[in-house]
Amino acid sequence: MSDLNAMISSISSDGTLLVFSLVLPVIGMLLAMLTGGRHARTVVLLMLVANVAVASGIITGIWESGQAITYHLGGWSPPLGIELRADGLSAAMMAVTALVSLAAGLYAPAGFRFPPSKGSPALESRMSFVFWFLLSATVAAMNLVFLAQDLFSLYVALELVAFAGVPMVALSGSANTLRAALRYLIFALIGSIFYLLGAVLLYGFYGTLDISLLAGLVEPGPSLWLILAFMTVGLAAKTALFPLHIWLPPAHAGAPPAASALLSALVVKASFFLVVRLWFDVVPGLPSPSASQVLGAMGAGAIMFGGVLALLQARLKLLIAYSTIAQLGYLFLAFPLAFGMGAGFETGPALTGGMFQAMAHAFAKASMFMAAGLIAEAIGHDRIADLGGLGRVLPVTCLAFGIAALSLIGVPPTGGFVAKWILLEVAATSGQWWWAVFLIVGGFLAGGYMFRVIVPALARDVVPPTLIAPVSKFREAVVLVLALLALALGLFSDAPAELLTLGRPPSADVIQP
Amino acid sequence: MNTDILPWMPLIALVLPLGALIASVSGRLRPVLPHVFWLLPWPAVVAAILGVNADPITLFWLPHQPVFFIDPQGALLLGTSAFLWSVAGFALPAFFANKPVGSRFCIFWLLTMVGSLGVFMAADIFSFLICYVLVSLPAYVLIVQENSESTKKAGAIYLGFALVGEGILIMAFVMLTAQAPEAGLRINELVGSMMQTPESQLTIGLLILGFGMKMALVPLHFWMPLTYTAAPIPVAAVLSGAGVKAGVIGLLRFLPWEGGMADWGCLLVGIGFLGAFYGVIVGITQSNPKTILAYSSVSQMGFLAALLGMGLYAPTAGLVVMAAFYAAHHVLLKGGLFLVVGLAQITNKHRVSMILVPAGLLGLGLAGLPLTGGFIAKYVVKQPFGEGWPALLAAFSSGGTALLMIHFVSQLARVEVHKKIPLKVGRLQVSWMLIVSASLAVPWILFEQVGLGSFSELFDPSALWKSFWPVLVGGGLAWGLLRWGKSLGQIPSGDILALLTPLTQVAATLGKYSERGDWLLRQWPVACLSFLLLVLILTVGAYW
Repeated sequence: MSDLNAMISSISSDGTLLVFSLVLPVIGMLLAMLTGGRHARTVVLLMLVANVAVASGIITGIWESGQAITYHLGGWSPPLGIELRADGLSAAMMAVTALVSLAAGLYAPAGFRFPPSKGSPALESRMSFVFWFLLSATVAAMNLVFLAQDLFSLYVALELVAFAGVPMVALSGSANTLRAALRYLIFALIGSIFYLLGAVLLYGFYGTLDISLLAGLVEPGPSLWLILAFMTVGLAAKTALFPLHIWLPPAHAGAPPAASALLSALVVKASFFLVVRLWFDVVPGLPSPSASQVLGAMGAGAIMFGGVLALLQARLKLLIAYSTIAQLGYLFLAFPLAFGMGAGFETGPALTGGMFQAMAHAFAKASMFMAAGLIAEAIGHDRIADLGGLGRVLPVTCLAFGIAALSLIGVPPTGGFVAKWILLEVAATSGQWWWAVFLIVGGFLAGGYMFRVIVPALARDVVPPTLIAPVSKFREAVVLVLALLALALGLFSDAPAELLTLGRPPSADVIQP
Repeated sequence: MNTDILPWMPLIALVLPLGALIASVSGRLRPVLPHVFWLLPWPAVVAAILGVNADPITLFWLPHQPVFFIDPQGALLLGTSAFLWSVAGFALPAFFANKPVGSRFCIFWLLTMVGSLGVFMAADIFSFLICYVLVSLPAYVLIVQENSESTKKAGAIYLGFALVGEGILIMAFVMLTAQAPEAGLRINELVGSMMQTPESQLTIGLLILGFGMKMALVPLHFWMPLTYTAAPIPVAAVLSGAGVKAGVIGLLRFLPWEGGMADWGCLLVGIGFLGAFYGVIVGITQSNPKTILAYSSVSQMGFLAALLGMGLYAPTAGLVVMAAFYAAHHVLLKGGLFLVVGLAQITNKHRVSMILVPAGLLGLGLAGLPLTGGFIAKYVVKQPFGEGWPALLAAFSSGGTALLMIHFVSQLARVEVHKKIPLKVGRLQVSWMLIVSASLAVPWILFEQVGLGSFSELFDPSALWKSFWPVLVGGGLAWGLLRWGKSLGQIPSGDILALLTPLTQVAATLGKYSERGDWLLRQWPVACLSFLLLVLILTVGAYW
């Protein structure tokens, strides 16, 4: 028994797990290709379960040692080799990815008739096959984003995320979704080019792309700022940060619900995660605070603009998509809050708040998109105006939607509330009141647009919509569990908040080559 | 009794409502629950009596380690509120005579009850916030029971107020914890560590604004008449009695009573008295008894705010308990007044006087009619108002209350009798008698217990006269109103809400421009331009 424990602890601390987390999804993908449509689902689901285990193993390793886990591919250390490194941020995001993707996998099987139509069997099988394939690819790409430590591997990971994301938008194959996918592709392309331009210039100036090495080499100056600006804007476009958000609503609203959940909950967070790596790890505290204020302003714009537009939408999936834009805005408030106004650079609480928002939003939004999918399947449409009395025919789905909505609004004790609380606290201590105003007003807007859905659903004396198809209890349960995860994140917020701070390098002791 | 159990009282108080919430998951148990609603709050009454001043209890096994305790002010409000919840729960089936209490109503009733009772006992900022949310948001479902436009509008405004109020309070709480990071999460420690800084002034302002919205202080009061008019009677009873006291306990717990906040005290006195008279003036133009009671609540909460303002202006020993005593009396009395509206709806015209007389006595008790419970409540809060013009204003506001209550009774006589008399009239009658007796007796029982005076002072002729002349003035005014008041126009319920209609225009315009903006950003040239512009701005920003 003790041997086994020793083995587990050695595995979880020596970095083999990091390799597993990349190889597993790839194996799943290849196996799914070999076995074909019929077994793809089983293979991928098994892989997703294993992936959850790997992610929890990584968390255990970091939690017990209090340090990041690293692994040098082929035993070569940077700058020659490639390093994989999981700190608290990576581990937390990997766990969220594992859970959300598993939920999407469990939810997905019947989820390919959106909008309900009698498509040809050929189309059906292609769709379901491609979905499993893309699901594994997304997991692999996301894990690479969280683990890679050099800007080139990260570039590859980012491209993989986009390659998996774009076809997911176009899964149904209708003209509208193809148009949306194309627009997404072009934005992702411009974003990649901007990022690549920055990465190439960095290599030209400093001769390395490894993050920790770069952190010791970079010197403040116009060239560095231009590089930073190009990379940030490129990544912001992929994250759908206002005002580069316009590809998101048609893309996320048009995809099948399981895919929408993945796109909104996870895929956009990949590029956000890179902005974090860039600003907090490559150039920690170097640019003047006004640059971070610009990022904050874009975030605040997203909160207001996304919120107001969500209030105006007539269709549920579009409302949720615009709400994603608003919620992504909160993530970018972490930058001005961390960089302070003359108060100095302090990553800790601001970054924790931002990442907490990323996690809480992932669970809540995945739950919400899947709930919207169930609603659309069950009643044949997702017109908000005709949702009256829905609570009586789909109680569990509506409950899940409601809990997710509370988290997005930021009602205690949900995860969304804790995220906002942390960010507000930093705003108060660093004297940046203006961001607090957006945090609070954003909650009011979210309350407004969620009100539009929840209130008719709770209405009493109206004839509820007729169910045109039965709803699977199991899929409802999956949606509810995701919503409860968003709630649990708030109830048990201490451990995740501490995990996020583990293994973060103090920016001072960077290894000199 | 073993004293080790006393710190556990806050948990015991909540155990039945929480248990019922868990039971409500089961579809088989849910229909039974409304029949035991009256039983569920009783442990809280017991806890309020036995658990006062016991040690706080920390629930280490729960996340964030909530702390609960029962202090005298909390006990006063907890005990009376729990009693009101019980009585209203007993009366509830009478209002659902033709149909079963819906399962959704059932669950949200329990949620609101848990929040309403818990908020008086929460000692740390997080559990306070969670209880506060529970007593605010779920009540929406209880209010919106009819499918009419006015009900929907009232519900939307209620929910909007609740959300905005909570946002403001969250900001205030964040600032409280941020100014003293080492003070932990206990409310009294956080408040005690507040310094005289501009930030703490802002915190106080936000606290007053947030809790003031819950208490319906003028000019943020207009949700209250709309809500209580729309809500079913038992719901209006618990919300106006117990629900709004969440705002009162908030102010009692979070404001610094040691002094140094004189400016805020003056402001609170000002808006308090404004509300006290405004509620009366608008109230006497109303004809719906429920609306009149809502305006009476606006007036009463204004009076209470003025009292608290006096305490902020000039620190008074025992002020917090005085205010809680006054508020506790209001819990019982307002609950009783709402229930009498229900009673009037099912009482035949020729027997209506049988309820009008006690209702009038009850109402005049609110104005401080000697020997009623309200007489003691008014006597208790006499000292902070001193002798000068605040005391005079307080007396006149009592006169206003008398006027409003006589108007209420006169309108009660005209209530339309429901054609279908519910089957459970007896329940309603019993619960009404219980709450009326409690509102008369409880202040007498508690008066010497809380140590705010002795009975001998009460029967001093000057004290009696001081409490009686405002009622006489109010009665005179009411006589005038009944005689010549026909020409008085009716101010629409929700009064200044009408002034806000231009805002909807602004919102519509904003929405239109946002949609245009979205369209514009979607154009490729604009999108490309924004890419490059953002790069430029970020570069310049990083350099600057």
